[in-house]
Amino acid sequence: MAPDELARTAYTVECFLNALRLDDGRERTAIEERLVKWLIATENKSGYLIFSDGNIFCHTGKEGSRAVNTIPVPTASRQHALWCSHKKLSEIDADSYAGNGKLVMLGTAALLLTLPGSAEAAAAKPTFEIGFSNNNNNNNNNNNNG
Amino acid sequence: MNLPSRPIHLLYVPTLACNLGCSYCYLGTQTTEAKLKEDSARAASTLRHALTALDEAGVLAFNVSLHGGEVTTLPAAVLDELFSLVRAHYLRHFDAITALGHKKLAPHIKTNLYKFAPLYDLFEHHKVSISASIDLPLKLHEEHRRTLGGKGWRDLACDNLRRLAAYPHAKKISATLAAEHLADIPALIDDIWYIHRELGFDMNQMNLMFAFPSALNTAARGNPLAPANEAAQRALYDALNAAFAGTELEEGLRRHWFDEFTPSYCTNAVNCGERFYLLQGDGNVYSCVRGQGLPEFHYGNVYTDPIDTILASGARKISAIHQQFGLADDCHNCGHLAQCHSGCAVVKFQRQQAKSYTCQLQKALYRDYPLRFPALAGNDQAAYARNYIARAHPALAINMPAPPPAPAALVLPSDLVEPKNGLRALIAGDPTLVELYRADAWQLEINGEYVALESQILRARSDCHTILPGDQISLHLCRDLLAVACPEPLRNTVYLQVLRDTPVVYGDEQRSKQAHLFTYQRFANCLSDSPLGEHWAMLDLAPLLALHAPLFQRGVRNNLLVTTGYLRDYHYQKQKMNAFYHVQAINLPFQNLEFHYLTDA
Repeated sequence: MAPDELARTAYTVECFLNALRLDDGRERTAIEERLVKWLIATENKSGYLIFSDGNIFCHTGKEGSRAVNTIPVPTASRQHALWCSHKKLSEIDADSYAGNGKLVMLGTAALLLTLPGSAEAAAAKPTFEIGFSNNNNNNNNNNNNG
Repeated sequence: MNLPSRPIHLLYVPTLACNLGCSYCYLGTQTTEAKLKEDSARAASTLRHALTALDEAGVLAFNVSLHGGEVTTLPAAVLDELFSLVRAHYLRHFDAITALGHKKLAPHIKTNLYKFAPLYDLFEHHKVSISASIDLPLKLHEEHRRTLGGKGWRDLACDNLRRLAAYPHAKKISATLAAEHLADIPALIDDIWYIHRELGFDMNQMNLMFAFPSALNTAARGNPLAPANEAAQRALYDALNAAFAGTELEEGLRRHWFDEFTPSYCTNAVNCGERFYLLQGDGNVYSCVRGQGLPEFHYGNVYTDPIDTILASGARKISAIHQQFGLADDCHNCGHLAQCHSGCAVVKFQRQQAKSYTCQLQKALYRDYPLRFPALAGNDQAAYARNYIARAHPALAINMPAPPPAPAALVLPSDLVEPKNGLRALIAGDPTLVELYRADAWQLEINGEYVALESQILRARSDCHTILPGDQISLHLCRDLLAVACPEPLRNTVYLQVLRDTPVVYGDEQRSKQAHLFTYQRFANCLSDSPLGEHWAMLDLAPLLALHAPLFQRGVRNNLLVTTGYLRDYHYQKQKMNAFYHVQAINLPFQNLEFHYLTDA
């Protein structure tokens, strides 16, 4: 694999583990290394990871395929499921995944892709959320009626 | 048959006739004045008529129980037909009843057991569930529960309790207690053990009730039994706990004996007239056995009134009774108002009092089972009381001071939630917004892979891509978008905004928003041709992103939003014109892609 692709995969996995709020340390490093190696080793980059209920499930192939490996991450504090390939992250509906394995993609608005405890993570954490969009009415036309 | 939408509990009283003359009977002279021959002739047809009428009205009687009078005074053939009718009803509505969480398949009957022996085989054939009424202590059974000829029949009652003990289907015993019954609690306890041990009936399957004043009983007999006061009720509860805790009857004590005073019973409904009904063989509908024969609790007649009218009458009459007697101050402030709802409307009417006649006993149950009956406190209690009063005592509610608004409460117009004001409805009603929100007009090409871009406030999924400086990234758009809301497409632009998820707080709302990194516009005639076809245009984004690479941060996602200059203007014009649109499109509504830009790869 090209060095750039390795870097892309490593970075995406890092963001994935950040989003699980997995603390830094030897255990995390070992998991990170294992996941990166597994993702780059899968044929046609078809591997993907799903975090759900304290476990990371490693899948290959099409959506809904059986997990070929499971890594427990009991210290992860994230509540909702998260999907990760070698190049992107998505939030998925945890109940749907647990029920029938079918992925239902949601937005990444609530993803905390920064390091645990960082200012960005704290600031980005939603306290009340309706819908999936980001707060970003960056404009000077924010007028109300009348 | 309509799909049933409203579940109700139906007691059917095919006859008011009774073979006993109990001294405390709430039916007064009705039990002796009933014409058994006439009742027998119409017993099945009335039930059949009522069940059909309920079906046609979309009302599901999920429970049809037979009650008296004394149902067993009817001929066996009539009973057989009634049981068959009820079983057929349950089977016809098996799915709906099961969906409600009930497991009814067999008829249920309330009986004094006087004719249990000769009817045993019939009951067994239909797997009839039996609830037998007795007096405790048994010496009072002999005294108060006598035949119409005035004879005691304790020995026969005991024989039939033995038979009931061996009966293979559902069964229980109920005992109604007045002050006299509680005068000798040790004897009452002894007889519970006697029935359990000597007669073999599992007295875990017992429930207790308390007599209350009955106008009809007073009119018929003149000298009714005095009801047990609340102190006596509590004394019984305490005595039974002391006597049976730790014994084989503890489960009955905890689960069944005082079940009538828990929220699962009609007595604790906010308005029992919405759900509980008693049908007589003559077609008259009353609230329940307690209200039978009282005009205040007569809801109508299934032969002359539509079902909807009868049910509405029930809800209205019960509501009127509760309002008539008001809400006691201590009920208003009680943490268990949510479980009790101030008690039975009929008893309020009979006693001319606002409170439940078993309040102290209920409080003892709530105290002993705090997880089953959690108390509300503080603001939660006050909020529940307000809602309850607004529903059950509207005249009181209108005079109560309004609760203080929560400091952080949103004040939204009531029509915000109307379907026509939903964002998707607003878009559908505006052809320009339809174009603005299109999910098929923008494509982002990343290293040869195309990603369709959707509005960030409408999409149900979003990927966050990891992008490297060397990646090939091109934006493709349908050329016809450039003519939307724009009189001269030549003057239109592709309008890009890139934001970074490092929050900044600004504006009159002081919202936390993504920081704006840069805006870029490319005029229409400066776009490239797209490999997607002649109707598409293309813009190479890789140099633009590389130019701004120093603005991207490791571990922080970025947000690329795309539209045209004229569609962007239209969005803000629409916000000015339509407040419902404004509030729902408060975040940028344009098609977007979220990404990390990995500069140190």
